[in-house]
Amino acid sequence: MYIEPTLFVRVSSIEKITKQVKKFTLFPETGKELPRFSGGAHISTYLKIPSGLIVRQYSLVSHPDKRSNYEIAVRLSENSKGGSLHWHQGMKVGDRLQISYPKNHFSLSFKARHHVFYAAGIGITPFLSMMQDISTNRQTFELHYASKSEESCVFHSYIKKHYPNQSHFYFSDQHQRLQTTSLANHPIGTHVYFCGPEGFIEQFRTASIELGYPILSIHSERFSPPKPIVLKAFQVKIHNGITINVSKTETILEALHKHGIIAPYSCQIGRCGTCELPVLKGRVDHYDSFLSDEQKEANNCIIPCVSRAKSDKLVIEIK
Amino acid sequence: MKWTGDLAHFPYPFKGSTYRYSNNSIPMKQPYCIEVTSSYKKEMLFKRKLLSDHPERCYQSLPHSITGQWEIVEIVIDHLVSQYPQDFSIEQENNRWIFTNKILDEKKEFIFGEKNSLPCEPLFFISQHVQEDLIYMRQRDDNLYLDAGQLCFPANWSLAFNIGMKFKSIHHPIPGFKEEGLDQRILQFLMRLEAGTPWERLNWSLMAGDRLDTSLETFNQWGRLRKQVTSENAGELVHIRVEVQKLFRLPRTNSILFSIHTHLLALEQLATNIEWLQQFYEILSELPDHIVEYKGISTYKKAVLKYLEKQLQQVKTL
Amino acid sequence: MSMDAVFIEGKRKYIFCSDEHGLRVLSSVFENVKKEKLAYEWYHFSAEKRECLEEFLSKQKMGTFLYVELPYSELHTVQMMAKRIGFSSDETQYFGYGEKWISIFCCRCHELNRAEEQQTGLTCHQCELKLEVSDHYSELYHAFLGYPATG
Ligand code: HEM
Ligand code: FES
Ligand SMILES: [Zn+2]
Repeated sequence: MYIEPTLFVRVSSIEKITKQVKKFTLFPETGKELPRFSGGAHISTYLKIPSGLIVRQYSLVSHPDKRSNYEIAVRLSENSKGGSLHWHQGMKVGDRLQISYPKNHFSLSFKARHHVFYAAGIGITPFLSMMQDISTNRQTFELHYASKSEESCVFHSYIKKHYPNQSHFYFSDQHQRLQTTSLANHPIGTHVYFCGPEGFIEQFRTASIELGYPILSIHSERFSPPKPIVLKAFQVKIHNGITINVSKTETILEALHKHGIIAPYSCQIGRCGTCELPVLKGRVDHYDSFLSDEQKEANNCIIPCVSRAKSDKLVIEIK
Repeated sequence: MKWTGDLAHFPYPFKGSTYRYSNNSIPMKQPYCIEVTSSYKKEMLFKRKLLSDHPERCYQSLPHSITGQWEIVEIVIDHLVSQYPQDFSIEQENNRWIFTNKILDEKKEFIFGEKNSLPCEPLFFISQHVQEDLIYMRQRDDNLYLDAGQLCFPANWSLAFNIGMKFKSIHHPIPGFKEEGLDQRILQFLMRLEAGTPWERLNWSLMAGDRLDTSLETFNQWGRLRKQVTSENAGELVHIRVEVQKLFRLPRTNSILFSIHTHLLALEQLATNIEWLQQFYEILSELPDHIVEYKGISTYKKAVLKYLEKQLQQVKTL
Repeated sequence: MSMDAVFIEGKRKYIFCSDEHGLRVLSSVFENVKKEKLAYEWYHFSAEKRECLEEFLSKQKMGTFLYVELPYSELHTVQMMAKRIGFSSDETQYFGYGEKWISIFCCRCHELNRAEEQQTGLTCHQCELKLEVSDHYSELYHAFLGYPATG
């Protein structure tokens, strides 16, 4: 099984910034500086706890050019299954953990003429580094930020101080509501970015599409927890003939090769896409990092070096 | 450059008995974007001459690539220093950097991120210290664009024409690439490239002569040698040209560094390894016409095959 | 560039930009927009009014879709202008008519040469290399690559 390369860091400080949010500073254990990152980037954090490994993604809220440490802000969620609960209650200064290299699935549009950020609650986090990037690029932006109250508004004073002209706050305890109506006023060339609870993102996405925003001008970020691997045996039938068994411990690609079937491949970790094969029948359990969500949903192809079958049998095509 | 090292270290590009275009990238074992070989000094002098004599041919950049260029300076110096600490060193005091190249006996001082502290653009500067050609592919929205590059040793393409071009348009001249959907798949792969997980691939071609600088601009100088290949002189004249290409995600600008290290090996050297000889013969005999044509081998393929057959026969009669 | 204008649904406003000769391709979409009672604006183009067009386009809001039909000699300038303002390829359709010239980038000296659309070969007017016109296109130069002519 492929495990992504990680960096070892230690917690150097923990700061409670609102009732529910703590900010953690992580510094590199080896003394070698951490990689720079781009506005909107996040890391995966790997926490070892007695019951297993907790993997969670958090946006980096420190400055993208700062290499001596990273900062993340973690909100204690009411229905935490362990992730934020452990960060809030278990984590101490000096604790060691692994993090991924910075990744960015929520980057600033290059072609945008104007950027507008819509944040709700802890959804503000990716926008901090984005705003920093924009200010150095001398582009224009606005921020619309909804929170329950001023006290629970994460990074409120920092944002007010640095971006007084661009930021707009909406506190529900003061009966201010962030509404989708402002979407109608953005000039041509605007890109909009949404981050917050699922319902918030959906509401703003739908409203933008109804106004006629092109899909590529709408950006949003959801963090999905990684999928645990289910290792069970199943069968693969080649469309014009033989059926082979794939055991719990081998990949489809390995099983094909064992039977002398020529199937191309390169990386064998589900990333290059070279081994992709068409699927004619059966449900695929996708584990690769190559296919897009839509391609995965279509269930008509498989990356056999890592992906498996959900059904007992898959029928695939090999030319 | 012409192979002078141990043949065992030559980046031999083939597996199997046929060759087709595919994404043959693999994760790197040694995550370094550059390599210093025994011909370092010679190649650096040659490269610097090309850069100063033909700057538009060998260097292109768009104004918004400067941050990315600094990122390349940072990664290249880091890799030089980590891999060859006896030859390269760096002193860093905040943003004041002193870079020492002991092979060329040079010391360069500059302020990292400060364009005016260097006499040229950052990418131009650092490319004068590595054998690789360095291409900066900027991620812009849902695509990759060639937004800066230093290219002295191209395999018959023009950096000046390709500047600012999208990934798929760059690969437009390759036969079958689009029709087979390969361009989309490779782009999809590249868009998902992550920092910390660099990749490499080998590209190969044949050429008549042993020039490293086979730019499209100078085709009329080197292309005519193709007509002079015979089965008698092919061993000496014809070279296999292998590009070791490396792909790194640059996390600061969320873009990609593509480095190309070009190696040449005369067929007579290749033929000294019997397995290679046999395998290469099989691959070339079977190579589809559109690939033969695109790689510019059509005029002398027959002569090369005849040469290889002769070599194989000699081996068998031994 | 496709030959027929395609009606794109779901926009809050449609802009049609053309001169008096260039209404052919856009008329079917225009009829559609009128029939559905959608918001629209016609912009009657003339070369002298190019600056006004820039101002007009800059004032538009997100959700606007732009159709342009102009002589080839004007089309590219307008296209670049709209792009600069922020109209993406998903928010525009362009149609040209009339005489069409293309640029050929000389692979040796990088000079841009003018050629007719169907032309397959030419001699570079700067370095005199014989060129073969290819379909390898650069958006940045708005030009096709001329390779060294073989044979
Ligand atoms: C991202 C950085 C890359 C750049 C800048 C790049 C650039 C180029 C260029 C300029 C050419 C020559 C095209 C011409 O004839 O004008 C080429 C050829 C080619 N590229 Fe790429 N490329 C990149 C990545 C890749 C990757 C990841 C693959 C993976 C398979 C690939 C596969 C090929 C192939 C197969 C050819 C044809 C080579 C031959 O037959 O000799 N490229 N590339
Ligand atoms: S071999 Fe690379 S994705 Fe399967
Ligand atoms: Zn010329």
